[in-house]
Amino acid sequence: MIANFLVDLLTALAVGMMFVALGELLLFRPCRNVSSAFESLVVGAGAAAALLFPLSLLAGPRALGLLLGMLVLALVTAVALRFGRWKRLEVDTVRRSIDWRDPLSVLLLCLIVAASICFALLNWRMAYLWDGFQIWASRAQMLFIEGRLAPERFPETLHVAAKIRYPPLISMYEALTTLVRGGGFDFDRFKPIFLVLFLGMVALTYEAGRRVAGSRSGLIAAALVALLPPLSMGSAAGGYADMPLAFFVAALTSAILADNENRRGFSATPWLMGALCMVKDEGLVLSAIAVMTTAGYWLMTASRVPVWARLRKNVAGIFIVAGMIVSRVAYLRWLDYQDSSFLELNRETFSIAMQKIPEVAAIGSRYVFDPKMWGLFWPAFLASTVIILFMRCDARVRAISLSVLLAAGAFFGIFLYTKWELALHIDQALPRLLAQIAPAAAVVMVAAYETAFDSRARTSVEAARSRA
Amino acid sequence: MVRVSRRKAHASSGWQALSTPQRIVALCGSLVLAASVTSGVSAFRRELSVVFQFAHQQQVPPILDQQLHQVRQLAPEGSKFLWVNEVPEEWFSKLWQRLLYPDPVFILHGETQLANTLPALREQFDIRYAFSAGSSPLDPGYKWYIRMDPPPGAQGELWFGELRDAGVSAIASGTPEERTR
Repeated sequence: MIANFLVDLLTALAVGMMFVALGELLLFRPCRNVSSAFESLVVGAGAAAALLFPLSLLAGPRALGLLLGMLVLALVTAVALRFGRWKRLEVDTVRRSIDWRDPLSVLLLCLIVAASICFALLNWRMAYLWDGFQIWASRAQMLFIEGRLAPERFPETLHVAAKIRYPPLISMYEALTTLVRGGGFDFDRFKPIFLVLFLGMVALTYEAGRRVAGSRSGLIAAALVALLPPLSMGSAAGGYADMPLAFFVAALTSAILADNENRRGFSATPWLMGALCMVKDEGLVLSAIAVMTTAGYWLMTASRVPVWARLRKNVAGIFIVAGMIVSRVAYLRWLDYQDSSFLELNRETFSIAMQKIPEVAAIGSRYVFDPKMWGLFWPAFLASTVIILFMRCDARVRAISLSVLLAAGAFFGIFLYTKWELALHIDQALPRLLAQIAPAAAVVMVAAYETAFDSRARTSVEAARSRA
Repeated sequence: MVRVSRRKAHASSGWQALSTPQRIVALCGSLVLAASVTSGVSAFRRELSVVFQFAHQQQVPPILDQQLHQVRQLAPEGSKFLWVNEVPEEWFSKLWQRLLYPDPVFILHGETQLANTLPALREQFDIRYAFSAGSSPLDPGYKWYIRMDPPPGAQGELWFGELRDAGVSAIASGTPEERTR
């Protein structure tokens, strides 16, 4: 059993390396360390998922095989470039940037490693839980057998029913892992992809925290995330897509904080903004919030750099985000499958929704402030937001903080339109929804801590750089 | 108020060198981290003990693999299946649906839905084989059936068999033949 798991883990890593290679080519830069490899993985996986729908239309049942061929080609090209134009891989910065003489840093690292081992044990020992099996793994089976994104052959069977609308990235990773391993489809043989995604989430939360407030703060942010039950056990180990989306959110947060760094190649930010909507339905909401916040940031800083100048400079990025969102929306239009879980948006339902606000807030707050699930995570985030907004702080950290607040508000808003029994729906979904934005919230928390702690209140990126 | 930067604070004697606001911030930060560690560690302990005691490691229990082999010997690939639950059930019926994919499995729940939906369904699709699950499984109009062991965690009985031709009423055609495996 363990041998099988290790083989499957290696296969999942091999497919992950193909995504990394595609990401490297799209960003036109080699990975320098573990964090940038995970960042490239997110970029590559997002681009491959966006490509899957047009490929399905063009190549029919050969789409998945064709995608695998393209990924292999990307891997070969990236390896060739690495030995040619690109410099060799540098030493892992995790090893370089952690202060081994600091006992707290070592303790935090031990906690993160222990949490990762526990996640690996759960991932190995557990079968898929409900959605992990009935939605994501089942869609992977459909994708593997049909060879493309396709509507259900017999909708009357309600095989995956309305969940056919869900984005393809997780199922695509599972199906590609099966395809690379060879043999028939086996539900038990692609679970380790979630271990890869978990490690990515932890590494990129560390990286985002490190960029904003130094390596110890990075470790604190990573430990906060690795120890959150909704992200490290239960549904996360059981094959749900919320933890992977949290990984993508961590990647975007890290990339936003890195954009001023002197890096080779192209910015990963637009790819990551678009990739959010390839993981889960809520990713489209997160993509929209990321776009809105970016626009707001550009307007607020227009005195330094005019908006038109930013638009001109980022025209490629705008097309990338738009292209990925269009791919997602086109797939939904093509399926023409209505989700019956929510009320339609109109004046009548709006007034019904408004009446539900106190009830949603009351039930939701019970989950948000549940100490067994979150510890003091969300109260600390709210306090951090106040600090970030009212003390002098990096504008990007403010933007991230506002985005997390907006996303949490949007997630609460979803329940105003639910057709489900309200308490049941909130119980089933709210903790997982909030978990998706937890990495960004953890980064805001360490930035706020640093801001409040540092007497000169010149926290975040500049302070971290000066300390480094 | 004495203000000391964090770096200077570390460089000197730590806690002693901190100003009062910094001490408050440090205490709050430690509290948040301690709460996270406490909730995380206790949740991991709970989860690991439950998972290692009770959880299935395999998505498809080995008994279902054997039963799938048996079903595939009786019903050729490309067949269409019916699944009848005596009372609504969403796990094992869906599990079989996935085991038999891409062959379709149409799932019906309860006697009323069976009576109302089955004729139209059989008219539209050439459904020849059926599963029936429950403490006393419903008869969707079997020509013959076999009893199968329920998978671990399931209750009641599971029948699998071939249906009579679509035109023949289940009630009019008497008791189906039970075959031994």
